Amino acid sequence: MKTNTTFGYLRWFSVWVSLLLSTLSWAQTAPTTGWLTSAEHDAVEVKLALTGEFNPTTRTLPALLSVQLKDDWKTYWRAPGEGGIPPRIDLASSKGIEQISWHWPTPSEYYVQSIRTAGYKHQVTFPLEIVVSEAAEMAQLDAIFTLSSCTNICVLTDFPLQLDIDLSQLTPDSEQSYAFARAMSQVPQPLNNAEITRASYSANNQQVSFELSRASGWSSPQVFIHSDAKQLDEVVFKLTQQDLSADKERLSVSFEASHWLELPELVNQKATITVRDGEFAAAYTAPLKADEVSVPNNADHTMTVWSALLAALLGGLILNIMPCVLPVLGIKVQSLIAHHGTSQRYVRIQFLATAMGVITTFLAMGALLGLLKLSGVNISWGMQFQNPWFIATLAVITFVFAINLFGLYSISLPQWLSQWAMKPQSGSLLGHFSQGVFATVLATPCTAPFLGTAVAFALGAPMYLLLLIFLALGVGMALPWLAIAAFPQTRRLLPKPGPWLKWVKPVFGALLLATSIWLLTLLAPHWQPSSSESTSAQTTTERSWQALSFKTIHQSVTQGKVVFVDVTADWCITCKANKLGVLKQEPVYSALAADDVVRMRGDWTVRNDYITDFLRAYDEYGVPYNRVYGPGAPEGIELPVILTSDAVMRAIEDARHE
Amino acid sequence: MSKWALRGIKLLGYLVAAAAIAFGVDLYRNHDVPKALPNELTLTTLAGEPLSVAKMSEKEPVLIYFWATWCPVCPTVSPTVDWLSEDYKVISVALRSGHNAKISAYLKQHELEFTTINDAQGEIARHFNISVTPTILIINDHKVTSATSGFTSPPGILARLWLSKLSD
Repeated sequence: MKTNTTFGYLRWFSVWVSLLLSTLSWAQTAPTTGWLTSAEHDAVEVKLALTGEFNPTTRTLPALLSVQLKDDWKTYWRAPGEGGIPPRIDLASSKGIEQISWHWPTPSEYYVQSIRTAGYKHQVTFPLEIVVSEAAEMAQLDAIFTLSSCTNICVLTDFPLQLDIDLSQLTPDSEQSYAFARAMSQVPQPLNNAEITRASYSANNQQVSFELSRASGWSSPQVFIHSDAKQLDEVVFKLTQQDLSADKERLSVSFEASHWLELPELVNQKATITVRDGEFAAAYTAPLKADEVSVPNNADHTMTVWSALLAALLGGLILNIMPCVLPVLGIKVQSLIAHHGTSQRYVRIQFLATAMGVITTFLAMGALLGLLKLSGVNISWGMQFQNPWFIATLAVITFVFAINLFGLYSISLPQWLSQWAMKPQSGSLLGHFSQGVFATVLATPCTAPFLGTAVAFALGAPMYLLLLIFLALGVGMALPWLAIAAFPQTRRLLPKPGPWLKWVKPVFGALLLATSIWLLTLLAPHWQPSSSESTSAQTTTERSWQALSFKTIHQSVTQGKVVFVDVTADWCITCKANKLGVLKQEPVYSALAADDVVRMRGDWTVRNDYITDFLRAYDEYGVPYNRVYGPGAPEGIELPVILTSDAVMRAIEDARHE
Repeated sequence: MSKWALRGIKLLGYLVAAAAIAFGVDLYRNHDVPKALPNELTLTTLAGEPLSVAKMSEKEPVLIYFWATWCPVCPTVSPTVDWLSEDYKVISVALRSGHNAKISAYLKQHELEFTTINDAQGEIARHFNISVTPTILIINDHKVTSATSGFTSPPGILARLWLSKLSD
């Protein structure tokens, strides 16, 4: 036992010395090409920089390939989809370099017309590993970097990359090491809180299908596919379908595989799915299983178009009885009852006008979504509900009308507003038309649950289908109005006017008020970010994390305490996953709260040489990094990059007991 | 009556403005494209036939279409060019898009039938100082009369072809 602690002290001493040395020598820089530009194409700039590190066992030199793109220019990911070509390096006449392996940060999806590509905008940094030939002391990089970039035009640009590398002269540059770690943190990892639950390939329609589960649910995922298998190098995958289960936990995606010559065998090949969902980004690999079930899939596809249209029609119809819309329809019918004398022709015209208002609004929404899609914005139905102003405006409108219906005229509406919304029977055709518009706008909050499938289908479909589905939605919702317009006699079926009429308004008023309150509850999540921040601030005060310090670790361990070190950064997605998935969950949460546990955090969000050196002392260059010290493990137990609750608990126990 | 006339004038005004903008953009984007045809440019099609653009352009305007398999914008322009190739002289140049077999397969897959030349190393494009796809050049009697990059509508291309004929 005693020797163990003495050995521990020696380790500490060596760590201190190396810390001191590295601080003294960090002024040295590592080789870089500097920013390179091309006379042909001034919208892109590239830079290759070594970190100055060299791993003698793998013979690799970590390097950073940075790309800056102006304005709307994009470059592409490893598997950019239909059209698009990944950036590549041709070693050309390099000497002493065997190969260069790339790491690819999680891309984003972009649309050109209806063609989906995966890539990067503004700027991207690719972490590279340059493999130096066996026994080479010097290496000469004389390569061509070919970068494709597109806006509504595409350019292929060649940049010569030239570096002379003397392995004996290399000195780590802490700024480049930090940048390398930061870039590596953008490369997706197989995080714990999601997984591939199904991966299959169906040969008869060349569809690769996956199901991805995430316990905390998906919100607006972007999914990308590639394969490291050499045989699948030139296979192009095109996203054909993306669906979320009702509970949002299961995401199913399908890609159509194609090859310019002949599609190779895909069964049993490993494919990797990269998924980005807000701040979450991860990659999972699974072998493809043969899928024999979906034989009649071709018929299925045409079926889905029809069923989507039917779903849209029904969904639109159902909208009429939603609390958001019913009052509008109700008031209209009430006006019909109250004004029994109105001519059939006039009834017909006014209902037709309203129906047109509904249909036009749906088409306009469809066109707007289509335009957004064409312009490459990542669209999803319900994205308007991510906008608190939209919800708030609707809540206020419904509230004002509810009050109005209750007869509380103390709130006076603008004259024109009450004119067209409440008393259109005396108004013009335009009044009836805008009533339809109003009903549709009011209906949008209710569309989410009913129209989910149809709208999701529409968003993934070509422009004409998108418009067709929105047309079906509009026609569906306008059906009752169209029915009355077609058969004005039907109004005779309506009950005779009587004293009960005075109850209609308050009842509909109550419905509208309920809608308004429901909208307010939708606003709640928008308040949450600020409140969750304050709670996290509270938890940090109640269970404080100390700043990283070798001295404190050493002192605490001699006092018999366990020290849990978490080196993290705000830009590190894996760190966030670790924090939310393990550190803030039981049993780890309570274990870290124990009296004999010191929690220590190194925040590497901005460059910090002390933390860099701490990592370097353990031959680590990136975050997350977790280590547990204690009387049982004075030199510390290193935890896996992706934490598991078991690993943390075991490490704490092992460190605690001498 | 005068109301309609006014509307007509307005519409005409918009069209002229749009044309002026398109012309300006063409001019700005392709100011590097030489006005005269590069000398002695003889090309070989995928089918192995030799072509002289200069000779072809003596009788009627020739449309040269630079595209690439790696260009996600090109599939929006290619069908238009293919359609025009039924009535006009069209030569397409596949810029740095791989070997002949791959380009032939791509054309077949996308149902494109225009005459195509493989510019595997990008040399032909360099002759014209073109680095951008999609780019459409119109060549009339040895001269480049029009150059436009990016998405181009069918009427846009037709208008440029007619203009090229008119300027004879």
